[in-house]
Order: sequence, then C-alpha cells, then structure tokens
Amino acid sequence: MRYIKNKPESKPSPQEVIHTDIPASLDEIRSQLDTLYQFCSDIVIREFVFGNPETRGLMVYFDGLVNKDEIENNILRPLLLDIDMLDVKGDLTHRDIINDVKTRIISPAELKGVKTWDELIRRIGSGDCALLIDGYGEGLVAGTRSWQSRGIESPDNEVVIFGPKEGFNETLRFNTAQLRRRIKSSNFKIESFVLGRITKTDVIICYIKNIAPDSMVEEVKKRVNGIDIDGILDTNYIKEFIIDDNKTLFSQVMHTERPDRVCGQLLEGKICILVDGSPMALVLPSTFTDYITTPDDYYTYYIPASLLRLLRFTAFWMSLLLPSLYVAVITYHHEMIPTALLLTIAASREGVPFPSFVEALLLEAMFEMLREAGLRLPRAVGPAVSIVGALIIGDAAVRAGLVSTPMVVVVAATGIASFVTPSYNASLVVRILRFGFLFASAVLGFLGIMIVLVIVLLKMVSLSSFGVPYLAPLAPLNLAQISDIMVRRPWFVNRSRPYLEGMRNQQRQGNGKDEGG
Amino acid sequence: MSKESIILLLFIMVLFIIGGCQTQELNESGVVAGLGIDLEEEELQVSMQMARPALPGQSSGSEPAFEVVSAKGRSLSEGLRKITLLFPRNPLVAQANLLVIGEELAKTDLALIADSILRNPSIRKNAVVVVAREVSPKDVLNTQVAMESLSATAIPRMLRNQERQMGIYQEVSLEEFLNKLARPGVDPTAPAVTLIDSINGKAIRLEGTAVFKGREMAGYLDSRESRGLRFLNPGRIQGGLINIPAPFEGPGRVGIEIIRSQTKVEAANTDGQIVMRITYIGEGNYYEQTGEADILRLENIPVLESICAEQIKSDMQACIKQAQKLKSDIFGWGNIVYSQHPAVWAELGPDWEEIFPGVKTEIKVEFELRRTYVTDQSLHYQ
Repeated sequence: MRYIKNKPESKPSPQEVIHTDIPASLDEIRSQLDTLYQFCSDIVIREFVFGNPETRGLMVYFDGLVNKDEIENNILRPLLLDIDMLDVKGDLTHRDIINDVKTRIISPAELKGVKTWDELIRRIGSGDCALLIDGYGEGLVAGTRSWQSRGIESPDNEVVIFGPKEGFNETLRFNTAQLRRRIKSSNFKIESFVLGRITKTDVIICYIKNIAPDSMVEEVKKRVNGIDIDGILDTNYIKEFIIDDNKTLFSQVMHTERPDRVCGQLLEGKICILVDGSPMALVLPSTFTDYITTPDDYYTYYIPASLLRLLRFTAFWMSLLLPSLYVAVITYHHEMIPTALLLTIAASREGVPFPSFVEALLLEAMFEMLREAGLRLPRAVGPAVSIVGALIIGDAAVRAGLVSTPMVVVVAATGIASFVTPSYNASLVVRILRFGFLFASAVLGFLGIMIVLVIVLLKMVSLSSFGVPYLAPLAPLNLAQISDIMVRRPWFVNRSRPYLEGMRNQQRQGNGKDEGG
Repeated sequence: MSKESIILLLFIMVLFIIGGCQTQELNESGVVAGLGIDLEEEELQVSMQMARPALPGQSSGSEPAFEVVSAKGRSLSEGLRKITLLFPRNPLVAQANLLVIGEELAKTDLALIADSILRNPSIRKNAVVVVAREVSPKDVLNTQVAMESLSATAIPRMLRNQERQMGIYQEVSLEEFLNKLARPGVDPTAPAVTLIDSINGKAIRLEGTAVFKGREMAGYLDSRESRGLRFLNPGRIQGGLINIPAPFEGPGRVGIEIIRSQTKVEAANTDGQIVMRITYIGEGNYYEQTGEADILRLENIPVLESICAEQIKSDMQACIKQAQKLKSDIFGWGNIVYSQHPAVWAELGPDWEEIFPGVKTEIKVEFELRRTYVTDQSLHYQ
C-alpha cells in the first residue's frame, strides 16, 4: 500500500471533472482544462495578465465557432489595454475583480457567469468564449458564436409557387429568429432544452400560449424531457421517442422546413419542436389531412386552391390504388372494361410471359429504384440514369416483351400522381401501402383491395396524435371543419381554428376580443 | 412474436389459400364479343364471336378482326363449355354485348336457355337481344360489317342509331327480355336481324320485330307495326321520323321529326269489359317537304298536326291488330290491368290469353309542331 501511496497523486479523470465546480485557482483550472480537452486540437486556451495589481486570466474557446474579432475587440482589448482608463480608486486587491470585469470592462452584449464545468463545456462547445479569472470559481461566458452556416434558402423539398420562400437552416437561432419575426406576440413561447449526453444539442419547443392547449404543451415537454440518448442529430430522433403509436406506418408528426408553415400551424394551436443542427421542424399533433394540404393552398386565391386540392385528393387515391385496380380488373373483373379497351390491353399483353401481378410488381419495383437512385445521385450522373431508366423501363422492356404498354402507362401515371402528394412522409406511406394493395388485388381482386382498405382505415381511425384522432375532422366527423378539408375555405369565412382538445381560444377573427397577445 | 403479427401472418396465408384460383390472365383468354344460340338437330348450337386482340393502328393484314367458334351441346352450359374442346383459350363471355337467338330455337322453346342465362353470372344481363330471322346466328356473327370490325358491336350501335333517326325498333336488353318472359301479363319482343346481299357479300339488316307468345316465338312485326310498338310503349321516347303525304294540293311528302313523346296506358274497366286507354302526347319539328306548296302557314299547322296524329294512331292500330292476331300481349296490358285493377286481374288473369285478342282500345293522340329549323317558308321555285 505504501508503494501506491507514494506514487504521485493520480489526476482525476475527465468524467469526474465534468461534474465538479470550477475551482478558484487558475493553475488548477488550467490543469483541469488540460485534462478535459486533451487531444482536442481545436481548443484555444489563452492565458494573460491584466490590471494593476496584476491578475491572471485565461480565455478558452473553440477555433472556428467564434468571432475572433469580437473577442479581440470586446474582451481582450478592454482587459489588456483599456483597463488603465478605468477610474480605479484605491487598492484593487480588495475589489471584486470579476464583477468589475463583468459590469464595467468587457463589452459583449451577451454575458453570463457559469459555475460548473458541465455548463462551461456546453457553452464553449456551442461557440461562446469563456473568461476565467484567478481567484474566482466562476467563468464568464460571452456570446461570441459565429460560424459559417448555410444561408437562408428556399427549401427544395417543399416548393411553393406563391408565398414566402425562406426555409430553415441548420442553426437553431436563425430558425427561432425566423419564427419570432413572423409572430411578434409575447405569447409566442420558445422553451429551450438540452438533449443528448454527448452532443448536448439545443432543442426548443415553441407554441403560442393561450392557443395551444396547456395540457398538450405539458405532455410534449414531459415526453421530450424523458429522452435519454447519447446524441440528437435530427428532429426525427425526437419524433420516434415522442409519438403515440410507434408501430404504424402513418406519421403522426409533420416535418417541415418552412417557417411560414410552422407559424400557420402554431396559429392553429400546434406545437413545434426544433433541433439545433437540423433544418427540419416537427409540428405536432399532426393528422392525416395535414399531408394533403400545402401552405400554397393558403397563399393562392381560394377558388383555384380548392380545385387544386380536389386534384390532389384524386392524385392521392390514384397513387395509392391505380396499379392494384388495374391488376384486379385485368385478372378478375374483365367485364368492367369496355370491349374495345379490353382488346387493346389484350393485344399488348399477347406474348408477355409474366402474370399481370408479377409484371406490375416488376415495373413498380423498378420505378421505386429509379426514384430512389435519382434522389441521391450526383448531379452529373442524374441525366444518365433517367435516360437509361426511361429507355429500359419505358421502351426496351415493352419491345422485349417483358411488360405490356398499358402497365407502363399505369405505373407512370401512378408515379406522376405520387409526386402530387405534397408531403414526402405521406408519399412514403402511400408507396409502401401501394404494394400491399397490389398484393391483395392479385390474390383476391376487388375484394382484396376492399379488405386491405378496411384494415388500413381501421388502423387510421384507431390512431391518435397527442390525443387528436388521426382522421379528424373526417372521423369523428366535424361538419364545421370538414369544409376546410375537401376545399380550401376562404379566409373571410375561416373564423375559427380547428378544434383541439383543451384549446381555449378558438376564435380566429373579428369579435373585438383580444386575441391573446 | 406478438399476437398481431400472428394474425397478420394467418391473414396472408388465408389470402394465398383462397385466392389466386380464379385469376384469368388476358393473354390466356379469348374475348367473346357476341354470343349466338340456335337449335340444330335437337341440340343447342352455341356460337361465339371471338374478337382478335389488335392494337389500334396496327393493321392485322388479311386476318379478320374476329373468329366465330361454335359447338353443340345438349344444354346451354354444355355448349358453352364445349367450346374449350376446339378453342385453346378460355372464353370471356362477360364481354358479350349481343345475344343472337336463332329462329329455330325461338320457335321451339326459350326455356331451353333462359334458366342457364339467368344463373350464369358471366353472361351480361345488359347485352342486347336480337333474333336471327331466317338465318342462323352463326352466320350473323360471321358477317363482316362495313366500317365496324365486329358485328356484335355493330348491331347494338345500329339499333341505337336507327331509333334516334328513324324511330322504328327499340333496343331490348337481356334483363328486360328475361323479365318479360317470366312475368305474367306481358310477352317479350326482340328486334330481328337478317342477312341481305350486298356488293361485298352478305350484309346485316334490321328487319322486323320478333314477337313471342310465352316461351315461343309467334311471328314478326313489320317495320310499320314495330314503329307502332314503339309508340305504344308506356314512357318517354325521343327521336324518330314521320313521313306523311302532303296535305294539300299536289303530290309530295312531308317529313316531321319527333322530338319527344310520352305514352300513357290505362286500363278502364267498364262493366267487366277491359278497355285500354292510350294517350300519346308528342312534339315534333317540321323537317322537309318534297312538293312546292306553301304549307307553313299558321292555319295549316293544326292540319299538319292532325295528319301526324292520324299516322301515329294508325301505326299503333296496325301493331295492336297484329299482336292480337298473334295472341301475344307484347304491350304488357295484362300487367297494367293487374296493377290497376287487381281484382279484375284475379278473375281474368288465367284466361288472359283468350281475352287479350278481344281487348278494345281507345287511342288519343296529341301531336304538336314546334319548330321549323330557322327557315320559315320553303323555297319558291321561280
């Protein structure tokens, strides 16, 4: 035992250090910093001496995350040079140096004292710089975040013709700023959380108080706080933790990259979750009808918007059912096709070696592959793939007698219809279900389609998203709200918000009352 | 494995077990465009007009667009199934839009086929029924029609067009036909087709209406009587042409087009004597004259109207006369008596066959001229 005791005192491990408070002595601070940030080449630790009598100080930040100009001009320069101009009476030794520094000397707009390593590590990790002064167990953290970020661009996945074109980007603050710029009310709350043991990701939950039901806000907060994971890199990490039913295809939370869409949903009492580092916002609760509507509907004059919405409904059903209906009709229910059309289909099917179902499956699978390939292709290869795809699937396969022309038409029409569905999430569901329907139609014809349709409907009816029935307002039926589903209700009659359980303020316009901020 | 996934698995297995046995791929089946049935040597001869699948724009060359396959059987379903002995593909009878009944079969007994047709879910009940007059259904189906690739689609189309243009025959669907066959107090009819000689060999022509008495065919109506039958049918009709002699000086004819008309038939019971009251209200347009008289004067219009009414009435009477001669209640008067005077029907019903030929009628025709197609006066030949 002696032998061990005589060894130089072993340093505490970084894990132990993290949970301790910042020590007072600068030497100790320095040595703990060195322990913590061993092998971190991007850390910058600068020691200096300032004031009279001389006081030792230390500055720590991550290179690349901070604005160096700001640190030089607002922190180091006042400390090292301008401190002499400070009218200091008497002996500095007895003064509270850190307080002076904080209140009189350095000038960053955002400044906060931290006492624990845990907090300090998180702050400098997000681009702040920390100032530590000998003799005080407190670090001053100045907001000097500045890094290269993608600009505010129009989101590629949710294109609108009219209306705002800004999208979120990967920096949380820019995103909240975009929201705040649109909703100036003090009732617009942005609550912050830190999730991820290692990543320490900033996560915010925002909602409009008095519109969003309090119980729902509490529930969301509770669920988000319950997440314990090493890292959060995208909003989807959170989504999978907090949804009601995680054994279903149907997405109960909406993803969007558009601040205007988020604001529209917030005004309907929804809650939005944003994650630092991801441009995708989660909006919840979200119901089925959200997938068929687009923000464009509300930016376009209501008559064309309503007709487009009907078109979208048609396309939705088409993209879901067309291949299976076709297969059912030509393998079971021939009597439903007019003779002339049947003869044409029969003629093109002459010599096709596969049953219609296999043919449809083949083409659908090929189309899905082509689509998936197109998503992740480098731009230069894109045209090549589409040429090969179009030629092979469209023409050569027909000429080779592998598939029939009407089937190509059906699959192509389905493909086009599936692109009409505005939400990528919804079209994913449709794409998967389409194969289920195809399978059922091959086995049982229309009866099979009906059976699967009933199963899908039952599942959808039984789902709920944060207490809101998934098919609301279609089931349970709400006649007052259904008019904004099939068509786009003009703004001048759109007087109330879609009802959410617990919503206190459902009035949308013009009854003289204060709208809650 | 959770309960749900086991249920799902079972469901998929059930799908596999019960399904798939009825699939009928198109390239393994033949499309039957028209069906013909006749009686030949005590056996039913079933003929199918198989349409040859053809892509539009791809001319099949010298091959005809169809092929007629026929087989004989002791019953209809046997005949239908015996086709498979000489044809490699499964016939899709559900596509048949035309049913041609042979004269021989019609004159013998419709019961030979009616039950099978009614039961067979593949036979389209909205198919058009025609009777092949003096020719065999096989020949009718085997005839090339000008401009139309299949006679089975041509005949329903001809029926529809002539009704709008000429107003002689009315299309009869299989459902209606079977219905009338089964119901008391009404006998079925069906338009008849025959083959005539033309430059390109044989051609199809609509020729008369076959009148059935119960399950057997009793005779034909000619085109004038068929026209009368159409007027006598309760309900609305549209289209048709009336050709009347010029009412005033000189020779020539006047053509009147019927726009729409409505017929009401009521049974009046006066002292146990049934009198059918037929009210016809029609509207027509003045279409043409072949003479040069100045017909279109205000005072002449009632005259024209009454001549038209006379013409319509005489067509009706001709038809009634023929039907009564054939003892076949094709107008469904018995049915009308039954629904309007059930008590009387209970008494007369069993002997309706004997009573019908003596039923008196009161026909009232109102006809109105509406338009003269922009031109008011005919040409004055100078």
